[in-house]
Amino acid sequence: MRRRRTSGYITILLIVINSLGARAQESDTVRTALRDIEQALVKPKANLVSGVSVRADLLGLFMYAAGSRFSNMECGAKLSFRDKYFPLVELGIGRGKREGQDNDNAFETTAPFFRVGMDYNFGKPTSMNRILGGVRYGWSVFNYDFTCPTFTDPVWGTTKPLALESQDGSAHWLEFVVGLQTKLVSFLHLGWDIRFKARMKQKTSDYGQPWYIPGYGRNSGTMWGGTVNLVFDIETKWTKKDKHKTASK
Amino acid sequence: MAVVGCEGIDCTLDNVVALNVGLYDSSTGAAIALSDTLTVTAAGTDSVIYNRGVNTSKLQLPMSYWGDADTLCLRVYGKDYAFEDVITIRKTNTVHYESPDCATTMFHTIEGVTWVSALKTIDSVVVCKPSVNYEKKENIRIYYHTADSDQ
Repeated sequence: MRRRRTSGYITILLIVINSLGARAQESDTVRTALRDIEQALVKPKANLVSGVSVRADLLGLFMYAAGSRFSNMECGAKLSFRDKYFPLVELGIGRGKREGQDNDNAFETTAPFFRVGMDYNFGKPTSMNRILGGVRYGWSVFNYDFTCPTFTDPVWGTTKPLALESQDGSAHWLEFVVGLQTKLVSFLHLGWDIRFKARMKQKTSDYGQPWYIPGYGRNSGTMWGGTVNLVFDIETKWTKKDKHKTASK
Repeated sequence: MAVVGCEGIDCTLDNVVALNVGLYDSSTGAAIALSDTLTVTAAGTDSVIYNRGVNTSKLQLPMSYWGDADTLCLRVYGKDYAFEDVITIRKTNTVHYESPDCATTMFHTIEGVTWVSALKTIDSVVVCKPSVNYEKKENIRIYYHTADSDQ
């Protein structure tokens, strides 16, 4: 109700200023005033291609530096369509290293991974904050090692070191993502997301499956994950500025 | 990146790999229970892998991790008699692991069975499931000549 009343006042103001402008034979002063008012009234609308952004995951790097058993160091790029739809690609290096708690088993792999997908901004377009939901399809092709230097037959008592190196593995999975992103300064944004991952298909060696899948996490049917991102977001100009050009003609 | 949190260990609970043996009557094909005492030893180890079982109808026997064949000595003895049969099982071995936290073990595939029965107490040995793994399905059947089948 209040908004409708305000709009009415502004419309009257526009008419008055417009007639004043006519009397003043479209003087520069009036033209500028008109432009300012119109700028205040026109709802910002993002361009079709309204920006591009690249991001780096800080948490993966932190986990790697902290010596975590596994870490996904990743970055990504996405296009912005009307600040609502964000087709994207993500790639990174996954590293998993694990030793058995009560035995001498050891697992290790380091390999690249890839994801493609789409985010949707549930927040207001052109706002400083984005509320994102999306989906990813991820895959990784990798080699993994499994060793046990003290592999012993408990009945016959024979010990032979086990060294299963460079076993072929691959995995495909889906990720469902929710996250937030906010503007810090200029083109610098900070964001985080939480991901529910569901493994679709995997190929493992005849001896056993990998303990960790690069880009996915610990190898199980489903898995939780997430990222904390530093985002460099370059936006194109909003459509309303184009309208000024039209108005100024 | 990954969520940091509690980490469970998902190892198979029933993780015993054993050769499952069933004892049968050669004439009727029915399962039997040996009323005598049965002890099983294996070549290459001092361990008794089945000790003094009575009324035995099924056996679960370990297999060697690295050998191409396991030779089992089945010694049956009563009050004033004893006899011994030898069964040799040819096999291949495949390492199996689930996780660094779980025990690594060996699966086997039976390729063939031969036997020596001096007193002809064993009629035949049949492989019914070659894969020896966590499943508790019967791998081989030993058909004994029993008193009933001799009549």
